Amino acid sequence: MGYVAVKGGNEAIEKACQLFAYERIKGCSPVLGVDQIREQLYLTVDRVMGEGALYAPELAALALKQSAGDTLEASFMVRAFRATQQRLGYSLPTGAEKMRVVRRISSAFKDIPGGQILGATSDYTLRLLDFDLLKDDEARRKAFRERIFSSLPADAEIPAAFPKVIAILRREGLLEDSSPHPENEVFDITRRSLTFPAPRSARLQALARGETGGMLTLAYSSMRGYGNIHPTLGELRIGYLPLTMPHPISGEPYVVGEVKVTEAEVLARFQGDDGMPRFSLGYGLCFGQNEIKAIAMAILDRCTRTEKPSCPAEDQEFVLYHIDGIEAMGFCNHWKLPHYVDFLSDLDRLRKAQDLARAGKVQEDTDADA
Amino acid sequence: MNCADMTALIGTMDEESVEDLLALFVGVELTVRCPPRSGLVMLTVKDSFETDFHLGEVLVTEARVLFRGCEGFGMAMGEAPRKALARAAVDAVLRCPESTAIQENLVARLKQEAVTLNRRLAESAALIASTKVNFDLMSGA
Repeated sequence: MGYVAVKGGNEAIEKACQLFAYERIKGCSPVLGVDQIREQLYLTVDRVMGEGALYAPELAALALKQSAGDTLEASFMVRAFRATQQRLGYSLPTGAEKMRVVRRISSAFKDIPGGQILGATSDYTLRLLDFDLLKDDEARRKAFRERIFSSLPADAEIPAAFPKVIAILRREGLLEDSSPHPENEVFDITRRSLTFPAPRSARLQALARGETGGMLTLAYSSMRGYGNIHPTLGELRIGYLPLTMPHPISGEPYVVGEVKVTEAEVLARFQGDDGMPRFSLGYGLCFGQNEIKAIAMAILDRCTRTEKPSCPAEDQEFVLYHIDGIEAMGFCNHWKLPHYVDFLSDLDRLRKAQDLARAGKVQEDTDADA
Repeated sequence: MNCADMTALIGTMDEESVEDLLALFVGVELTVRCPPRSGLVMLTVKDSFETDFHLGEVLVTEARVLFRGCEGFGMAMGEAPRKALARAAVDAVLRCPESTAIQENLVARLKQEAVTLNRRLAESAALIASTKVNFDLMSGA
């Protein structure tokens, strides 16, 4: 099956593009600023950056405005923009221990070194509509700001760094402690095509740019029992990682800025190559605040390390080839392109099949009468 | 605060503060060696197995500036040509072994900026710290 080329229709196409833009502005509400999207719809902006694989909040907000809020289209635009830019270099590898943490929880332990920090979360809300937001204005915001700052405890402090929860398990020999297949080279899927079995660095890069909904679906299938992983969230942390480059003149580490990320570590069922059972670990890390994606990534990381896959979520090739939102939406969108010749061919075959079926029926009837 | 810390501070400044900082260079002989250009830096991270992998790219802007024979490099997050220039100019001036008036002005200005940044970070940290929780187990658990 394939689609056929068509030509013409330029004027109608131009008008259709204009109409799409007009739909966004035809109402009488105030103009939506890109800064408003960036600041007030920041979780959507984070999602677009993660799925577009480019950390650029201003451009992700612009893409959301242009796409009228379609996250797949917006991620596509961001990734397309990325293709127009030259790569200036690679950062120095950074671990999450350097993160400036703004949220950090564990569901494995109640008491963790440094404490559980809920941070900015909607986890404990009732998911009921807040009708007061219909009357949102500057006066209301000012009053809210004053209230939140006036109620701060005087002794509230946060540690500069938090130890990893999994370090407790590692110290006691309860957790696998190294990558089963160490790599000499970091794979870059933007430069080389994936091959299977994919090296760990390639799998993590592909998962980090995966589409949240697709990853959630696959991870959820594993959580529900299509697989045998049984994860527990060891730690979830959100914070800012420094983007550090070698200074091109002095060679010293040079901090360009900070990148907001979400990290998840899931503890999964026991395994032990050396005969000693230990927890296994799944790892997730993505741009911005996207907890569902980071947890789903950690589960899928663990699932795809299963040696004998028993379900789709454990099949590396199945997972990595289907989680990229831009590829998936591109393929889905292609069904909107003209398939006239294919369909006429299908129609032709269907009519012939019906003729044969009718002829067969007549023959059966004749045989039955005889 | 060393030179790297000082130029990193510029990355946290708003547009108006960056323009104020650049205004300090009026009358100072600077040569823009490489005008600002945008590009991408691949953010490489380590997972919990110490495996390095590429998380994704970050949009940045970079520039290079010469001051009395000393080359300065500036890179800033996003499309930020003025910020990249400011970082490069400050880098060049602070790396210059000669003591100059502009050096003193910049250090004083950036120390003020550090106070502002630290106040902002402390405010944010206090808000976050107020969400520290110690759940009680329910009886029977």
